[in-house]
Amino acid sequence: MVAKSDIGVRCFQAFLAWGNFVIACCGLALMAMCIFFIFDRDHLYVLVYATGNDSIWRAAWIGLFTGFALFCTAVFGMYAVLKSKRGLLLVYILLMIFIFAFEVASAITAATHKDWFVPNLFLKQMLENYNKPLPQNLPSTQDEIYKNSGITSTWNMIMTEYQCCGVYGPQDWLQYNSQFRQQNSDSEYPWPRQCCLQDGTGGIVNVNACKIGVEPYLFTQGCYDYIAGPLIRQGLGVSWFGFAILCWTFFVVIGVMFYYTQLDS
Amino acid sequence: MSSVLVVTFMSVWFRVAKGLSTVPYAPEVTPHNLLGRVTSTTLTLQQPVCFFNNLSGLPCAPDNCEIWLVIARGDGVPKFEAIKGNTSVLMSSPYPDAFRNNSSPNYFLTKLGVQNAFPCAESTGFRFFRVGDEGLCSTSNCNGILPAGSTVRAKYVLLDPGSKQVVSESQWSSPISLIALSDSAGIDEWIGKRSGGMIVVTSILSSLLAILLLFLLTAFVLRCTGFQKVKQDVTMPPALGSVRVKKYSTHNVRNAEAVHSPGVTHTVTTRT
Repeated sequence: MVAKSDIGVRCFQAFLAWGNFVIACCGLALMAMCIFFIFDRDHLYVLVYATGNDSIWRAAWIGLFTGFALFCTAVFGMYAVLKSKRGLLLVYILLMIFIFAFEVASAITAATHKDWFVPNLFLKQMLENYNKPLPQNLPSTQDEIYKNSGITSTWNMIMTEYQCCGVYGPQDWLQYNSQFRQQNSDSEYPWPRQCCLQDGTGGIVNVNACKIGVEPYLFTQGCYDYIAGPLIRQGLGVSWFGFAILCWTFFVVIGVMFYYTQLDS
Repeated sequence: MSSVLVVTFMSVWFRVAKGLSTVPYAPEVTPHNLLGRVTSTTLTLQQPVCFFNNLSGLPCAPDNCEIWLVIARGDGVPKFEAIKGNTSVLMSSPYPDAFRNNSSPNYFLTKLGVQNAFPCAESTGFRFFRVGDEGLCSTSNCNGILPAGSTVRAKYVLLDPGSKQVVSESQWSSPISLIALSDSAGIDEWIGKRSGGMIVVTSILSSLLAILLLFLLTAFVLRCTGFQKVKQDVTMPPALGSVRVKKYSTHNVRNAEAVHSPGVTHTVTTRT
């Protein structure tokens, strides 16, 4: 059996404690990052929600909780390692593997779902929901109202703020039949007015030039990068940071397990 | 020399006197690369700049001759050609009913302005005329939208406002196809290939979790199968200061057969 006073054992203990300290710091950082993503600065959540699969947000939520749990457990682990009590270490190991499993779920979900955000996903959604009239019977369709008004207002905000139009470009509004096209003739509204250059007071600088598509009175760039960009960054952040933390945690937990088997009390 | 001039003059005079002369120009879609130059119901044409300026012997002056545009679909072209000499040409096909069905006239006329408004001089900026700019309008010669997705041809004509008669015309444009709207249901949202990063994250993390569980199992098995039997003799020195560790002897468990009454001791030792 390893003698605890050995200098080697002390070093191993110190290494494990330090490893846990790193995990605690990473856990806090992961939690902070997930809070940032969940905060949803660009109001993109409704676009993802309306696709019927908002798992990328679930991944961030799981990441938030596992980040906090990692922090708490790692602090507890430092105590357990320094105390060298087998009971404490066993609790630590079991907790850590439990959290590990959740964090694996979070990272895999984020990595898998970020692949979903192809341009056509948002194109189809935009055409089918932008400017869709609200349903008549209110009580049964709160969800519909949330989706329709949310998608319309998010698109209006993105197009105005980032000076872009459509998913690929303004031609999206011309080439496809859409809810917007059913409400508006393409003589007066070839594309929403939010695609037109605005002056400081929110008025449109030149409506006629915008209608036939003269730059710079019409934003000719597509909005895909401004929509999918933050979502893909969110997916990458949650999955790869989670991956890095897990790789580190893996070795620390293995080390603690080894330490656990070598303790005889 | 002079006879040639006279002949030329005579021919021009003759054609104008007959009521109609043709200029060798045709309307064109604006060559600028504008996203909205052709939509499903509108199109943006170049203005008839300098089209009718070389004509002589016109019954109207440049400041009151009017330039009109004829837009025709399918058999609207021969229908207009048949009626273009009449004085009632402006009223021959009111816009709201022009494209109602196949037996409709399939053409309509709309006014651009007087001839003077389209001088030959180069002007800055680009000049265009947008067909369909007034949407679904209801007056007989308004600039209404075209049938969605149709193929149309255009022609500029010069009209004498006094007699309401066409006095000169351009050639027909080549056929212009408007955009036929695609159905959004046909958009393919398939994600295509999975990203490499996703495969790496998924496979490595699953393996790590599996290895970790395997190690956990191994650790339990090691503890339970008396991995440390040989080392039992080693005495533990007192632990470092505050981190003192209590030491339980697991001796009883391992020699459980030797203990005749395992009751209390057993429960205590297994817990350690």
